[in-house]
Amino acid sequence: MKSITIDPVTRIEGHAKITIELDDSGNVADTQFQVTQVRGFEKFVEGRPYYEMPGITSRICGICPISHELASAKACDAIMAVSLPRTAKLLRELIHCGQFFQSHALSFFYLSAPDFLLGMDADPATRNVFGLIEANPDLARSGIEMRKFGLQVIEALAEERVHPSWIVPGGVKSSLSGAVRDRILAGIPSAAAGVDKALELFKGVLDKFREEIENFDSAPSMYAGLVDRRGNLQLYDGQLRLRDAAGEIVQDGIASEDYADYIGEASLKNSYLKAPYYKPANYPEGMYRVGPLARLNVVDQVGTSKADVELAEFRQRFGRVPHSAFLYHYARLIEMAYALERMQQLLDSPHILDSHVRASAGVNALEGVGMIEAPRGLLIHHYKVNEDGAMVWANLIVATGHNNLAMNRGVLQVARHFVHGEKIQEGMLNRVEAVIRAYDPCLSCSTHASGHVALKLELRSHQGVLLDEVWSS
Amino acid sequence: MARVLIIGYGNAVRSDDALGIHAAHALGDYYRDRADVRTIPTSQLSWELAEDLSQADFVLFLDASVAEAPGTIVEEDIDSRSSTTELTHHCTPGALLITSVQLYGKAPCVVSLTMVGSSFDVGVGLSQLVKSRFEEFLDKAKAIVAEWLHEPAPLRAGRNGKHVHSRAKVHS
Repeated sequence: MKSITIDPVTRIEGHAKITIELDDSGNVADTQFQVTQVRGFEKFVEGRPYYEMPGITSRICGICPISHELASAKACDAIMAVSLPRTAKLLRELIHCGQFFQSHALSFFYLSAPDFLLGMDADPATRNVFGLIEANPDLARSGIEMRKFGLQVIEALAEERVHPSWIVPGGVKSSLSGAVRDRILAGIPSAAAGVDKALELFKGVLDKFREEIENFDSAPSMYAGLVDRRGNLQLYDGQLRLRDAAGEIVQDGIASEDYADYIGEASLKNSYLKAPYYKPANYPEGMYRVGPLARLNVVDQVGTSKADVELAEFRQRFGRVPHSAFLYHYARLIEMAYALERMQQLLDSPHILDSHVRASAGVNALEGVGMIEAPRGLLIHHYKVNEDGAMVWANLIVATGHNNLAMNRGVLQVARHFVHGEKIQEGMLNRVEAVIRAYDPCLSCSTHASGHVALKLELRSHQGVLLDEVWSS
Repeated sequence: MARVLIIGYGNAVRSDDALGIHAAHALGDYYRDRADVRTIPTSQLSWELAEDLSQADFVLFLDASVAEAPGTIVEEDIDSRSSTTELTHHCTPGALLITSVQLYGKAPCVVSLTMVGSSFDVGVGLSQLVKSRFEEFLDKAKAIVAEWLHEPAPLRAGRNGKHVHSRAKVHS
């Protein structure tokens, strides 16, 4: 028995490594995706006032701090037992749309597009954002401008692009001016044209990636995501639905405060990342996936015109409940179209400029749960406080966690299909990275870089002798 | 269009790492009536700033560093030919310059001004050492901008009252 170790897979929320075990014939026997560092947010927030939680937990992530702030604020709303002003809800959802748009643009254009345009086996020295700029400057420019637009929406509302303090328990800090509304509205058509171009390009290259579509975690699973009462996509609100691989709804209408009745968290040997599962199906059979593909599989329809046209084509091509993780990229683009359409709807609301945007209250409940869809999937913040409002317990379940079992399975499938023999080929390494990248966990940051990155594959004999090693650049 | 763009960056809650952000805010106040000078305080450099670079004639980056003795101020001309980057959602002044050239066909002159920090621990204030040289750092930034705009360097309010108008690379 020999093993290949990818260590460290860096710049996630913690550190990770991938170990690929080969049998004596050089075929993949097993794989392990391990997160090897604990961050400790759930523990060190104990004793802090609950109203500090949005600011503290936003530091979990520099890409989607807004998502953590929103989930946290919703948990705090529940502790205060307040009903939010209508405009506060609209504004929170609006900034969330900006968050989705910029995060998905980052994932698609900066991290994954080099694979689509330059090929999985392209020279890693050029298979990066610089290579993309050289190969298709129009697309690169468009991608940069789209992410900038999403960030501008966040900045226009919250004054800062990263870790703003605008989202607060009970609502938001300030209302929206007409001038800012008009400025955001003016940017939507150009951003929408960029999404159209990206969709056209991606659909045009899909045929080149049949092997990846067939082998990137393509086994059936359940899917989880938020929907509204009509079965439409919901990013900020809604209730949890699970749909199985055959397309049947397994569970519907799960309210945030009831999540623990349906979602369990298993601990994995050698990993600090827990493995959530659907409790009624037990562990590990209760594995499910979250995120863009999961959301599109869960909903009946998206609920906006352009995105629903794209969803219909998506389902026509791949079926009602497609399973390949490669299609997360496609789903991400459809969600970008939705985010823009939803922004337009929110900004057109006659209540969007109202000045009452915050409700005040003290501690009226000793427990609260906030549940939203983050760009990478379902995000749950669950807090318990004492009567003074000090945190006594917290549980955070992030998208990377929900997808832990799926990513493990995906790495195994990809390794079995693409990794052979004792010599490590760069294309093998990139495909192992790429299946993780498809889920767009924070791992994407670490596994896709231009130039030299801290991603190393080692091939060792069962006596620990180093047989081969490569860096991913 | 602003002829001069000042970008100050760093982590606002890691003590001296916030130097660039504090400096950008201070210079934003100083140049608030100038239409030809724009300041951007930001947590980190990202590719979206390439377009902003392409719209300026001169760009000054402000940051904290760790390369020399704490308190040392280092001025460096940024050359796109010798610049590289390793990550895809975080980049360097040189990488932004390259991107500005490749995507927008514009190559502004770029200078990086840094001061070596003494503490990068979690905290919202600058260390005593960096705080004591903060005005000097600002004066140096103002002098660089004035030189670019062909304007007299502003009088320095520091300890020895001299003008700071040097293009020396290291000011220790």
